[in-house]
Amino acid sequence: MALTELLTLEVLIPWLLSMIFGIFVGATPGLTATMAVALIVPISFNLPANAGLAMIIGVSFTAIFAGDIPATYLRIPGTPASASATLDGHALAQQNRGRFALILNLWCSALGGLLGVAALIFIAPQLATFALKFSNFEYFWLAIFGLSLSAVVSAGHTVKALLAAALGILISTIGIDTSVGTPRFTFDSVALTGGIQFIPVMIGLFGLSEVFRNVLRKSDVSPDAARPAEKVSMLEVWSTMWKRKSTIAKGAVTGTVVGALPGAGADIAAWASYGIAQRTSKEPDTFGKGALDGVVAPTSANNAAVGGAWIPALVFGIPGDAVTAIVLGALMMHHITPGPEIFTHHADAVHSIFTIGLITQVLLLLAGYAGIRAFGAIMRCPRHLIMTGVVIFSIVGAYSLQNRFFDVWIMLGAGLLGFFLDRHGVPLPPLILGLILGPLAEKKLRAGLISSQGNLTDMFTQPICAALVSMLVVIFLGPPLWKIWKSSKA
Amino acid sequence: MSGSPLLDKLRAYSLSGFFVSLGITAIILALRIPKTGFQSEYDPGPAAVPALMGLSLTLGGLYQGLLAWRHSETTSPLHLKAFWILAGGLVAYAVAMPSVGFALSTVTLVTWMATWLGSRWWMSLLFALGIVLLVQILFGQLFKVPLPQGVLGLPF
Repeated sequence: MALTELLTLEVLIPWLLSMIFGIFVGATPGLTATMAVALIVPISFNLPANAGLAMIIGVSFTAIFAGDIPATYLRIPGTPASASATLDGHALAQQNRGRFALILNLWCSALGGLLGVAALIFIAPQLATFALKFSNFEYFWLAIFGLSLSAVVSAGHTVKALLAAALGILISTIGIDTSVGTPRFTFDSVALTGGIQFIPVMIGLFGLSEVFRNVLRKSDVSPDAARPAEKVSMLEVWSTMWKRKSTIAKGAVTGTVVGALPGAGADIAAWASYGIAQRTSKEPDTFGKGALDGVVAPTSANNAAVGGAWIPALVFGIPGDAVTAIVLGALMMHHITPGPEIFTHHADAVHSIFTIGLITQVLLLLAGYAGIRAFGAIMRCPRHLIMTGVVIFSIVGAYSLQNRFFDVWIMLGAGLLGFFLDRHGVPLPPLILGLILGPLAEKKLRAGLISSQGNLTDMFTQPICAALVSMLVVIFLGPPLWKIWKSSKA
Repeated sequence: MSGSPLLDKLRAYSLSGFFVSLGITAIILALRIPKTGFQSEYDPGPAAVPALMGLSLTLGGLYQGLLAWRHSETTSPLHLKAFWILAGGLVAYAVAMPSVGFALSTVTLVTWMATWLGSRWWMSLLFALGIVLLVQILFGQLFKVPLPQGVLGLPF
């Protein structure tokens, strides 16, 4: 029933248009997936419920994938969930394999999204119950786990990566402390009391610092440095996916589980998946240098996380991330109230959501391919013009967040900081993850200590906490112990 | 850029110096964060995490300094002049935009930067006009971002 209602022109046209819009917004640094959904919601109210739902769900999946496009080509993540694409995706782009990396990324995104939606259909109640077992300490360890993974995947730079993460957490403490309302590092500045937004920092760290790097090696931006068009064989893409089917499956499962945890989201999912892929790879040293596993693992996870985030949203009315929070509001305005009764009271709407989620993955291939082609055409322009354009889009992107110049200055400062740190071999993704996860880790740690009346043993002995701590121990101590054991055997 | 052993050594220590000075500053400022009466006795307080991060940065920075002392890392030579020119251009742009307006300041910056990087001036100017138009359509019209008009009151 739902399928025939959805496959009509009055649904399909706005659906596809919204997905192209999602590509556009997701690929523009400074404009996030959350913003894309927020901008689509008012338009969706003027359309029939199915068309409105299709637009909202379509845009949320597309914008997450689209963030990988500038991350791969320009090393500027379009959304926080795309930060890991600045590693292997960008390394491949530097070898003139950017289009291949992105088409591979697109197919894995669609597959990850499909598995995420399948999980939503078949195991939503069970996963949501598991997600609800997470209390303060579990969330604290999950945030630390995400941060640690971003550090340990920076092969050979673990200490520098941890320093970057600590710096990110330190920056995240600027502003009013949300627990007790105390100003921290604000120096009586009104702008600083609101804290440092991570989007301008992300644009500066990745975008502007890249411009500095390119400009200072003038050969890279000379008018003759334009890249030739890249030919991509679909057979190669599909055979690459087939060889990496277990990595894609692991990524999709990781993404679904992490996405189902309220407050976790696609960014942690992508890093967790990247970390797991590197740790289980036979060639971990190739990660960060253009490893194909490093492309497929995070992208299958971040789109699966979008489906995963719908699980607690639909079953309990608890949004998994900011995007689903907006979507929940939109559903209620369409007179659909999320909660356990949704499966009985609004069974038609639930079936529509499931079907839309599945078809969206097919449409994602069309919209994503168009986006890759459009961006690829831009990338064939001379590099010095691209770099000049990146500067303007970085500045306007930072400004457009809150329409204030304070964010532009933050972006410029982050650009200089990123350039300095990058020159000294400090990985930048852990810094941005520290900025994003720092507040979550601090809030949950303090709330956990208050609720357990300062009992630190709860932090380590609760089953999920113990599992996460054990995994952290294995991640940090496993490789050196393995090396010692191997050398002693040799 | 110099090749002087002293400058090379200083470059090697700059990362360590950055983290140590930032860490110590963070600890000092964190200790000055005022306490409120609302806090639970089990809450480590608003200064705990900043102080802990400051301590981590200090210790990590010292460790990096020790590594630099034992075997200095080499960084590729840097064209400092080009760096300062670009950084200065961007700061001037950000300072000028609120008063000059988005359109005029952006045309000036893009024309200058593209020409400086090797493009012909007229091509740079055309590119600048195209960028301004694109940003105006995308951000100004589609996303309703109020781009600064400046004292000249240009349309955007």
